[in-house]
Amino acid sequence: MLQVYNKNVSPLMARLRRPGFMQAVFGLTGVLIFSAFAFLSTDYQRHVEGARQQALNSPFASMTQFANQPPALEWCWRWLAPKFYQANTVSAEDPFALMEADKPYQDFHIWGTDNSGRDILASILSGAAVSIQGGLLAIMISLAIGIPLGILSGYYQGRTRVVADYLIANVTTLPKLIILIIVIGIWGYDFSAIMVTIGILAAPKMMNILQQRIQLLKNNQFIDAAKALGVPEYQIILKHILWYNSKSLIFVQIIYEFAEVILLETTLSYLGFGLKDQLSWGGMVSDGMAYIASQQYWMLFFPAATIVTVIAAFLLFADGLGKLFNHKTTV
Amino acid sequence: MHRFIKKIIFVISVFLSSTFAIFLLIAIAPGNPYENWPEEMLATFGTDLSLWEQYGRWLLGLLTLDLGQSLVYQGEEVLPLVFSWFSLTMLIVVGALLASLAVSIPLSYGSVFYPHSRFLRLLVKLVETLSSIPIFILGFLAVVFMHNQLATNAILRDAYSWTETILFYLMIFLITGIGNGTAIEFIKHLQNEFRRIKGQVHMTAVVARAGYYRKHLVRNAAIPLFTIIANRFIYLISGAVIIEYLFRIPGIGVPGIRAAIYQDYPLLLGIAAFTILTVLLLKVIFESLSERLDPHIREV
Repeated sequence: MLQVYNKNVSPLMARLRRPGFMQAVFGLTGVLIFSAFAFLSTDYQRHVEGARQQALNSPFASMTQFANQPPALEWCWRWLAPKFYQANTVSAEDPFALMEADKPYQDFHIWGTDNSGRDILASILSGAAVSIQGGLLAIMISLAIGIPLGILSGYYQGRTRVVADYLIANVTTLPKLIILIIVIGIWGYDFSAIMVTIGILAAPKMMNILQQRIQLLKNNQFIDAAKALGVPEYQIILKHILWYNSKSLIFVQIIYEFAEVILLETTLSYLGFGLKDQLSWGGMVSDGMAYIASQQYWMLFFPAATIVTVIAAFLLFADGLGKLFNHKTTV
Repeated sequence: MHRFIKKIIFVISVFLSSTFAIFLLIAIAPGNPYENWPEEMLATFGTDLSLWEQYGRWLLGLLTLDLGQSLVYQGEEVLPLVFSWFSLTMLIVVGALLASLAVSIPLSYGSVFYPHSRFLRLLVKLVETLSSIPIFILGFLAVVFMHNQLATNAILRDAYSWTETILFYLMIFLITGIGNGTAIEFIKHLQNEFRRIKGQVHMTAVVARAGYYRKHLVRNAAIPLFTIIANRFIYLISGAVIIEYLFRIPGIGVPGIRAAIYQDYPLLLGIAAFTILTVLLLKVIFESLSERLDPHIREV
């Protein structure tokens, strides 16, 4: 129950002023938009393909196969900097002048296209779907390994603790990127195998956090009271320790891990280890870097901005939640 | 002594289990993992032996400083190659660590002792924002920004002066240190430690007596920093690999990626062995330093 000592502050304002609340709201908004990207990716791709098919029937069909700047950029040049636009367009006597003046084929490519004529927004949306699938798989693996081992080593000390500490020390000293590069070198780029490896590498952190939390809680009076009342041990662990007192911690850690999975996946695809049949965000950044010199910067800008915004949203959400759950409920 | 022996046993056990896991991955990999290998390399690597014999042969080679020959680098010995590349990678790692400390110590000190300074708060927020940008994007932005002065592939050419070379490496160190979250981790830790130490009774006595307490503050806050430094090496090495790929610096980054693409297992194992051993030894050294300097742990 939120206790408000300052009577001039309404309960709603008191909630809004809690440290981390607005941060968590902004972060959650970003996370939800990213999730919407992933769900809408197939529909948007169909829409773009439909519009593209119509454009292929037009006299300007050949222009759809090459890199086209976003329409908004062209409008900017035309209306805000007309002298610059006129200086860079061909003369009216040139047979291609009409094509430059009016390009209906590119109006449906909101963020422009890349050097192969692929819509950049559609590629970013499908990359979001790939990131979500990978993230969910990696997190499931880390929860499946981290939670049971964390509970066992935190609640029952002794040999279980020794083995868990050894596993944590073993895995946390391995540089993740280098281990992933080695796994790719041996197994090839198998998306599921990579995500399972990321999940295994992330499990010790979950184990460690849960271990420390359980050690803090297990000597509390409410645990002794539950034992005195004859509550079974599994119920004490799962209900009282894990569900009532540790779920917020696990949730925050899941958000951090999601951000790390997205970062690792984009880094691997930037290094050339992306999916072969699909563009990933890192691969788009890598391709876009090559076209900066020819001023086709939209091919780099939009994927890079998306990566930065999505990771920042996840980190903001996790930080905000962490402050919210740690802060006392008084103003 | 007992604690030191435990640490050595820890290093050896983690190294053996990690390298054995890589051999296990090769053994259980689907298909033929030695598809493009020449006959002589198959015999040297011991592909016809059992997993334990193969691993034992590789370990013996490591002890006699013979890690075999590289497939990608046309039969050259793996150990001298990896050693030369790794020295440059460690230069970047150490440089990034020092750059992170150079950024984090003044910022955290200033933000604790001048909490009303908007400029310092803005700088801390800037470092936090830069930490959330992937390191390859940060590196590329730096290249675009400094394009007129420095070219990405020109660092090894004689045409560039010492000043430009130093500026280039300084930029690399800052990007690696800030981009993978090391600087912001140091800032958060140092801010907490400075606040904690500032409120302690003995600091009040020092201030009342001499009015100069910075050396006591920094020294007390730095002791637990060694443990954090020990844990950050894995992130710094990963960051260095990305930066080496971006700027084509001859460290372990580009050869490691080529080795993964062409399934050059001797080279991959060499890089893995060097990296894991270095991280473990640095972790043990820094944790030992922390234990040595902290009187609470030393008495125990």
